[in-house]
Amino acid sequence: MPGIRAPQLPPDELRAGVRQWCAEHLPHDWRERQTGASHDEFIRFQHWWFGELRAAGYAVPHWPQSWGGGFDLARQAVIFEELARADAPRLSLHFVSLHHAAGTFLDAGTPEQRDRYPPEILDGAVWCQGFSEPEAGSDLASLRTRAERRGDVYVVNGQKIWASGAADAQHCLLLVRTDPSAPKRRGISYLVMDMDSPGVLVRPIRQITGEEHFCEIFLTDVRIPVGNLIGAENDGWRVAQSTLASERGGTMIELAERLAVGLRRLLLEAAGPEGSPPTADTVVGDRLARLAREAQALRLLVRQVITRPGSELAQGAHASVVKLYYSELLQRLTAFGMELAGLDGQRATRRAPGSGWESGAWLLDHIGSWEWTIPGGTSEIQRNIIAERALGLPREPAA
Amino acid sequence: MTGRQGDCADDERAAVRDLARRLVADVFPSSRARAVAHKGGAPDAGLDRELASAGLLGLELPEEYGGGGGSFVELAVVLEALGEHVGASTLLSSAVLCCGALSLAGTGAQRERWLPLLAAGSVCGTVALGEWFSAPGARDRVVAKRADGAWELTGRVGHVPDARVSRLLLLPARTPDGWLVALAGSSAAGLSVTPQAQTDRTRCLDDIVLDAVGIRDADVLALDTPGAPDATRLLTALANRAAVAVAADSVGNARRVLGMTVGHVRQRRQFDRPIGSFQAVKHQAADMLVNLETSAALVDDAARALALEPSSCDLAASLAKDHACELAARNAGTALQLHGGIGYTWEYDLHLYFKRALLNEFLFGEPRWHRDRVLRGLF
Ligand SMILES: Cc1cc2nc3c(=O)[nH]c(=O)nc-3n(C[C@H](O)[C@H](O)[C@H](O)COP(=O)(O)OP(=O)(O)OC[C@H]3O[C@@H](n4cnc5c(N)ncnc54)[C@H](O)[C@@H]3O)c2cc1C
Repeated sequence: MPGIRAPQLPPDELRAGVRQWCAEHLPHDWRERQTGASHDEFIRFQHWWFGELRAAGYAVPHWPQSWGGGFDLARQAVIFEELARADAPRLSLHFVSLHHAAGTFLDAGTPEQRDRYPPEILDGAVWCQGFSEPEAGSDLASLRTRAERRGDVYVVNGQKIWASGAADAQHCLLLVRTDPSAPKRRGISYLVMDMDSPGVLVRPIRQITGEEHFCEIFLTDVRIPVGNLIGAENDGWRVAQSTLASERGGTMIELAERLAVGLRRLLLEAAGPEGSPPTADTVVGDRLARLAREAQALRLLVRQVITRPGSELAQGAHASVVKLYYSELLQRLTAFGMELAGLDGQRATRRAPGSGWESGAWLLDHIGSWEWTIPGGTSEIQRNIIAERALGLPREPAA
Repeated sequence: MTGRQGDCADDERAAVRDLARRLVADVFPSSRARAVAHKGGAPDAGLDRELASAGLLGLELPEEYGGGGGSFVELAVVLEALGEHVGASTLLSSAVLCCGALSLAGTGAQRERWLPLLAAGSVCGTVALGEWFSAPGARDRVVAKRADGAWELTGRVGHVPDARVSRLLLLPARTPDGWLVALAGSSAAGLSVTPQAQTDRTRCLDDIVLDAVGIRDADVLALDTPGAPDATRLLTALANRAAVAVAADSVGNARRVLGMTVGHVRQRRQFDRPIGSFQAVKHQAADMLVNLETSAALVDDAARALALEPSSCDLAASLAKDHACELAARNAGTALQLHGGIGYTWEYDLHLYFKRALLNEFLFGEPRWHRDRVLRGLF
């Protein structure tokens, strides 16, 4: 089989291998089959597709080699690009486990945690992220979910909200307050919580798209072993920054490639009778040319951020630049798709779960674009981070 | 992406950047830019001398011609540094265009004759690319006619950079088979240069009128013949060089403008706090940075592509030109806004940057021209 565990293949061969593999393994009708699928069918399909990718060696190209990855950046881009071009489903069910969880363990995990969790993730374990609370959104550091240490367990009480995929998850990346007397950011710890622990109640919330994807999590006297601490006690805020940086940085290779595919779709929709380009003198041509340069800028920026993290921008601000740019560009691109579709595009349609946010169902794609400008820090928060960390502008005075 | 020919290591680039920044900042403080502007814009001879003696004018040329053996990637870094100071140098006309043309298409004799002089800065040269970028039916047009075993050029072309100080002029003209690029001295009979004042007084762009200017075959640099579009290929390469050079200038411009703005909003206080602590200000500054970073990424990519394949990197060049130049102009406008009244004064430097950024947006291909090329490149 092409491509198996081949992080050293020349990029061209890798590309040909991924392409051929997609042709052989990707069910061409997956969209039709998934559109309108039940939740269980979606979960089964995601697990099946993950298994296929894993068998081919393409599930975790961005992980270290000892964990089953080891592709350099250029080759990761090749894999994600080819998967996106082939219109393969995204691993949306596994998003948090593949990126947030893995990034966190790579950065701050104990040897035991690193030995245990990545293989479990490869076997399909699903993770969710329990950061946000009803009273702690943008001001995440004000979170109140409380963890008290009793012997070798933490006893946790509180409530989380908007946790994507929590109803299907086995583990949760949980932020809790362990020292209520310390300043906001100093008293937070980072725990791994098993979702089947007694005292965990998950309630899905129906969201704007009609799906029940994010959830509330109620925590009542949940006992979490002390060994599940990631990083030092009360040092959870720092660890959380690396989770967020992996959300805002590394995941973007795939997303940038998906977006470039969305652009290609737009080009096809805007093409003249013989596939001829519109001219820049028309509104359509002008907008397309602008979107094209922005999509290319995003791809280059992502590569640069990941290969040259130490360049002129301060750490952390880089990832914010990418996240901000991606999410707002996605909004412009899908809005333009919606414009091209016109009033007809407003008829109720469905899109397959697991599509990228550039599926071509532009109205739904456009609505979905807010899934990027809100979570992981809103655009406003990203702008604050960029202004303060990269440009050194003064913080907002406390009210 | 590593190991490409024409690629240069990051630390090497950083060294060139440091050298160029320091040099330009030393010999071309903003008072000099203002002096140039007050005189109505002629390149600063002192700056050119310093660039030449630091080896920056010939940076991209082989050592045998007194050059630095670098690539366009390093040249772009110097262009960016000049952009940071609205430097009024002939780097663009002489090094980017004229040296570029001779390196790409010159005969051995033409190169030996001119390149060392150009690298040393003792002669300035330019290329009259204007018509290449103009819309069909525009009034710029130079036609080449065969007469008495030589070529004869007639017509006019506008917006030629630094023509008033150039001794060597490369003149594109239309032939029945396509294009021709001829080499002419500034004193050639029938050739006249008319300086044209620009609103951006830190660049000079002049008109050239040609009245039956005779060109010997030995002074033909490139010629399209059926099946061999040599001149078209050369002009495409030069257009790409010009576009990326201006884009690099715009990146430098945007970098400096952001620096000025950040400095200002940190220090200026209103309502008992630095205005930079107001989110309405901060968020605009953050957007300026995003604009700058995306521009820099595209320009860096285009410069590398250009160093590899100068006549087949149209898409990368046009993407970079269109993005960097538009956003630098937008950033300069935002900077003007965030500076308040002081930004609107003649004595303050910001207007020099704003005007340069606005000119860059139109120079060497108006936005529509590049967007058309982008669209063609994508379909
Ligand atoms: C689809 C989706 C999936 C999500 N998935 C998860 C998940 O898996 N796990 C998880 O923990 N969370 C998740 N979230 C939650 C997400 O991280 C929060 O919604 C987000 O951080 C914003 O918090 P909030 O909703 O409380 O809004 P608020 O913080 O109340 O913000 C409301 C508005 O005020 C603005 N605002 C707030 N503070 C400032 C400020 N200082 N300056 C300027 N403007 C400000 C915001 O930008 C926003 O426009 C998800 C959210 C969505 C929409």
